[in-house]
Amino acid sequence: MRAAYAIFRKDLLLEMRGKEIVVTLTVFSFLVLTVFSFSTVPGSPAPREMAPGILWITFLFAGILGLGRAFDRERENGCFTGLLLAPCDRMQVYWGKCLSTLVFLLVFQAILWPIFCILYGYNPVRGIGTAWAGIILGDIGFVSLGVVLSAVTIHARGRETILPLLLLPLCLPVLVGGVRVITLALDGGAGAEALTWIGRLAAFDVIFFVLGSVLFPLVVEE
Amino acid sequence: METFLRAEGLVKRYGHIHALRGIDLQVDRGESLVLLGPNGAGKSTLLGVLAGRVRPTEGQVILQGEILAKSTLARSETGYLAHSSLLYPGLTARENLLFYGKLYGVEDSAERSDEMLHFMGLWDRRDDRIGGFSRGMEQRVSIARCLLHDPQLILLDEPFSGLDYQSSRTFAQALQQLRDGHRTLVVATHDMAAVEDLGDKVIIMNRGRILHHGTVTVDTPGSIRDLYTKVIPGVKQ
Repeated sequence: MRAAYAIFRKDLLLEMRGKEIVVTLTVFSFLVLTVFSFSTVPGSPAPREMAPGILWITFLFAGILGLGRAFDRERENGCFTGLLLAPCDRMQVYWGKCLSTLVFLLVFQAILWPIFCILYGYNPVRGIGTAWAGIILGDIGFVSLGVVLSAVTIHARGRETILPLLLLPLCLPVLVGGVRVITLALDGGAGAEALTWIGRLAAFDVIFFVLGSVLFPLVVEE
Repeated sequence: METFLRAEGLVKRYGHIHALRGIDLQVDRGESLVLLGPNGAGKSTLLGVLAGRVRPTEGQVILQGEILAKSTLARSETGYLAHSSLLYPGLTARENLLFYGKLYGVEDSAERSDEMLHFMGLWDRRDDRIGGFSRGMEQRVSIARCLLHDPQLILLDEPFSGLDYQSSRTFAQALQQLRDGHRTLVVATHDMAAVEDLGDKVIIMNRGRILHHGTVTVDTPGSIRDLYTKVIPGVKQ
């Protein structure tokens, strides 16, 4: 785990210095949520009904933006090659990148959560435990897939287009599960159905993470 | 002498492009080998394979008796200076070295990083970000990164590129210091002078093949340039 931790710390240091990823994602997501909130007829129930979906679509697109930024740093000066040359199992590179990307997503989502609740008229504390269980588990699934696919496309021409094309269809289970958990949480908190969806998200996470750990060392081979 | 590095039948294909076409070589411990050849000869690909960065389509590399592809231990014995610096522009010189020290499991990486910064004459700029460095200075930090974990095999891809004359000579002297009879050097370069300075053996490559493999002192008592122009078709003196 030594190499994974070193990569995680390095990414945190770079982000604390530049604040590039978290600020970009927060501003982007704030704009998307605001535009959506003003795009419906005033007084109609539509925004509230659509809110969990809007939130997760925002998370996914912001997440893709974040992955792109995180791997741009590795592309510069060939730093990704430097990681792959390290005398460690390349799974550790994957784990390190997953962990740092996950932390960046959670930080921007924590900033965004109260803004989302205010814009769409929800109590930010109601069902917060269930909602955040869904967000964290959804993020883990998204990051597990996203890091592998970012590594695949790191040197590809048009990677900004290729990455979402590959990632979004694979993330559908995360999107569906995440939206269901947020909907149930905002409607009243924990319940049997919410727990079922949380369980499904956790199962997706295990599959995606194990698959990612196995595939990453293979896809980064030149 | 003990064989330190052996490559057997290395072939590397990228689609229909043949970057390496059956490379066999052997380097003994403490020797230094210079790879010469025009652009596209396959020198960088060969170094990439020897570093474990590029997987050969066919053949294998054996380092200290271990097959490179199966051994992370072999990677810990290798220092690789690539075309790119592999340094993070947003981190300082010292932070970059500390990071790579931890990545490579260097014990007391802080002390070792400081030692390397002194060795490369970068101590005064240790807290400056790489993004603000000149190409030459960045190259020096990159060399410090390459030597940080005290590798026994040092692979250098165009190490003199981007260095001014003074830095180039300083670096050549630093490399001479590394030739202590234990470390093995493989250097890909266009700099003919480096062959006589650094090489025990010279390989001249073209289009993924070895065209000449010899000992510097025996084969090239005069100018390496003469040999090069004889071996590589179309090169004028």
